Amino acid sequence: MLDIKTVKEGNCCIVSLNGRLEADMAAKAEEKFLEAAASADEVILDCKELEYTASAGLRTLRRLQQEMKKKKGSLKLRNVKPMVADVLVLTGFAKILTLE
Amino acid sequence: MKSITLRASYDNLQSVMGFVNSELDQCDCDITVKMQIQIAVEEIFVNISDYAYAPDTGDVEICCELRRDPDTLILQFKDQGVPFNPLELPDPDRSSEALMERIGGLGVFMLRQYMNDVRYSYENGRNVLTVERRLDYIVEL
Repeated sequence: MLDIKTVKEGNCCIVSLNGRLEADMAAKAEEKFLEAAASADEVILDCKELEYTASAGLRTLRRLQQEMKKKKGSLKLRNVKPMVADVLVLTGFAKILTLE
Repeated sequence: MKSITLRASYDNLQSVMGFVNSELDQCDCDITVKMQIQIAVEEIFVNISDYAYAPDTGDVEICCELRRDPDTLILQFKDQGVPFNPLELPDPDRSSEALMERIGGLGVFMLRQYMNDVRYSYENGRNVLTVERRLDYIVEL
């Protein structure tokens, strides 16, 4: 299960992910990500409670990053757990995303 | 060896995870090992769901066995879809440019990194993919 909460603060949209970004949740996550991308120039993904992602989840992150680049906005991933960070490093996604 | 047969579709991903987790819960393995096995399971199941029977769907049989000394989880996925050997895929281009475009093969890449052994055979009209993972240590990558 994945719970996605979105909070808008000015021109910044904070999307908090809680749970597991599995393939069966990827479509829903992508929809929420694209809504966030459309609504703000700065998107922050708070991954404090994100426990898991595989390649389907990574593709949704890439889609969000593509949108933010297209509109010359910024995307940051915050509080990424070490296990999830390992996946980002192994696949190379740590190079195309900004982790803070 | 326990087994489950179900339709290869995203709706069944949680059933597949539950099946594998029930086996994993019987052993005292690190949470990182567990996650890496779950990633492998998701990648294999999603691949079968997406491609094996496209544009239709079909069944997949999953067998799970826990072997002791050393503790090892063995998983086998069998489908009757188009013959596909994931081990023939080259490693994906993981440069930033390639990752921002389209990437294929990332799931299979992770599967190969996280499992100790991945074997493929085509038997009696079925793809048989067998993966093994030691449970007593974390693969350092």
